[in-house]
Amino acid sequence: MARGALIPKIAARCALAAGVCGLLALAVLAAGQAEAGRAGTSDSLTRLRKEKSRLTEMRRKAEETAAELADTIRREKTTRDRVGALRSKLARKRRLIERIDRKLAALGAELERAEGDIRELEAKRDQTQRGLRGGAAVAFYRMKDRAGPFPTREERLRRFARLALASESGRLSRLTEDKERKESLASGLERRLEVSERTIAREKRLGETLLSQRKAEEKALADLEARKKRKEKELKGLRARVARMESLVARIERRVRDKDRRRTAVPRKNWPSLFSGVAGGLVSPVAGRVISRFGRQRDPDFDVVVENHGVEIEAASGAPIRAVGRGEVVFSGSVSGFGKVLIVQHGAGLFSVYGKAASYTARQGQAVAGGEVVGRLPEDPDGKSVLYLELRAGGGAVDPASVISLGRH
Amino acid sequence: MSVPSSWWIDWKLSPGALTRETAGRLVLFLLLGLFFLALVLSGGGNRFLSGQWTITAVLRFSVPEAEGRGIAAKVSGLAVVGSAVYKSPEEAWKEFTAAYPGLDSLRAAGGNPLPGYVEIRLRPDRLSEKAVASVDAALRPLPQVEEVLTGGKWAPRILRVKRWVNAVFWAGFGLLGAAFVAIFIVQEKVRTLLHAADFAFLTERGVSSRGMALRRAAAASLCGAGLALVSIGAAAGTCFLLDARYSFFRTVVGPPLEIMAPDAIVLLVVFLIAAALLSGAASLIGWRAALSSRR
Repeated sequence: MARGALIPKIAARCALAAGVCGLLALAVLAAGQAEAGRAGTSDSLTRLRKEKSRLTEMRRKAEETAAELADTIRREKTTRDRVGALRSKLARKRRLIERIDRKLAALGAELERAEGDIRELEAKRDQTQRGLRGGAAVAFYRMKDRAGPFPTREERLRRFARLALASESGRLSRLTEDKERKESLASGLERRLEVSERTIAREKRLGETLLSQRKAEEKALADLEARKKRKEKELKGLRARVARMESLVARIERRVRDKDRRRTAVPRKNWPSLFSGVAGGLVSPVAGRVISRFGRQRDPDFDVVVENHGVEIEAASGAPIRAVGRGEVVFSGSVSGFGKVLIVQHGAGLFSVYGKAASYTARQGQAVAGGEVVGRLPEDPDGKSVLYLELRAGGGAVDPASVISLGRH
Repeated sequence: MSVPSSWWIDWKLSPGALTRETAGRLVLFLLLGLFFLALVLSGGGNRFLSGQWTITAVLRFSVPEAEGRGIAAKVSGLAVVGSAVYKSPEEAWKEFTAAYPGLDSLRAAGGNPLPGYVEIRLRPDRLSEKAVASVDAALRPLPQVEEVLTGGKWAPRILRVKRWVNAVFWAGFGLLGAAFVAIFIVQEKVRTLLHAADFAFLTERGVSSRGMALRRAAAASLCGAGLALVSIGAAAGTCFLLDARYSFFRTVVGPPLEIMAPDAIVLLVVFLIAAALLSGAASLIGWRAALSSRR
């Protein structure tokens, strides 16, 4: 067995014992309350009850405030993330708008060039058309007015005229095509320009929206920070008040305990006999076998002596947990090292403590009968679970095996 | 008694009349010789037509000037070709704008739209459809040649006209010659009738009438040949004179030096022989006509 694993286990057991002691302190208060009624210390108990109730309320409030603070911090973090995201989004939008601006400028220049080309092409086309008209007129008048040269030369000149006119005509059609192409290009550029302008307008609107969102988020963040500070201050005040209250409760507790001790001073050896007074007797909480005994025991695994304040009973997974005797539930909650813990008070200074359960059906303040199901063991794949049982009498732990026949109902 | 020589009997009988008659014949031979020489040099309408008739090989735009000149040189080597000259695109443009002034604007906008070409003229004596077709067939397969212009629909018409013109010229020459022969016959008849008594006297004294006729014909032939030779010489001189004075003469008739060409010399010899034969024939015909009329 590794030595390193021993320390956490022992520490867990010590923590378990300390936690149970703390819980039992509250239970003792309740027990003290009952005893005080009988002992005539009603004033102290009444005051203790009031203070306890105030303490509980303050604790609840402190927990709520802490939860609110945690929530505020979480929201602050979320808001900060959102603000950061908005900032990066805004930066991206700004870069996009700059890019579109540059593109718009380039498109504008290209459009101007295309329009210049169109004007030049139109001038050339006009010149060509004038040339063609002039050529046709000259050719017509020459054919009309004179007999012309020898037919073979005439044929050559006609051929030349056809070549010249075809060349000019081709040039004209090329110019026309160029012009149409340029016009189409210009039209395309205008369309792209319009689309770009629309895009930039949309992006600007979006940017403005993002900016306003960012401002709103920053305002919300500032509110959250102010609220956080307020809550922190409030929590600090509450904690101070709780500390003062705990100190007060401890003082009252000590006083009640002293009185109670003086009143019910029972020798340690007689503590188990106190449980014989429980009405209806005691029953085993689960059917099973004891796997960890009470008192100083040598741990075979770690080869150390440990002090057990209770016993551990191995039972079937999911088995019901029954109250060992009639009493009142004075605590139900989680304790470090014990999991879910239930404490039942069976009379003056008598308590049974149940730990490592899956859940408890009995609520704080509820009266339970002996053998009544108060909870259930957890489900385990190997079909077996463990219940921790501790009995306390006169402020100390009692071996459960000495007062209950464990493992049998 | 010896028989008097009858070779020049007409000259002995009437020298004055014969001199006048010979002078007249010289004039006629001069006209005929000039006509003949002009026909020989010009070939009728051939000379003028070959000067005007050009076959044009239009080259492609990509053909450089050196290549165009090379094609022209090769075409010049064809047997039917008189001359072949390469004309650059610039020269083509100048010719075009000279023919169609006012079209300069066509070039101002987009450069010279005309390619270079080769202008081909056929030899005057080979101007025919066959010659045109042979040049066309030689040029058309060349990759540098875009098109061959040979006159199109005008070519057969012009060549037909050329043939008719030549026929008319030669017919005119023939008619003129016939007219002159007729004149010679009349002259011979008249002279024979004029000296009929003398010829009868000689016949009665034993001179053969037939021999006398033949000797007179031979003398006439010699005279005719001599007159023809003189007239040809005078016509040649006239041609040189006209060629020196009038530029169109060379275009229409041709260079006078071509008289020395073998073909022309053969024709001139034929002309001389024909002149002699016809003169002799006219003498005989005139003799017979005179005898018939006396009976």
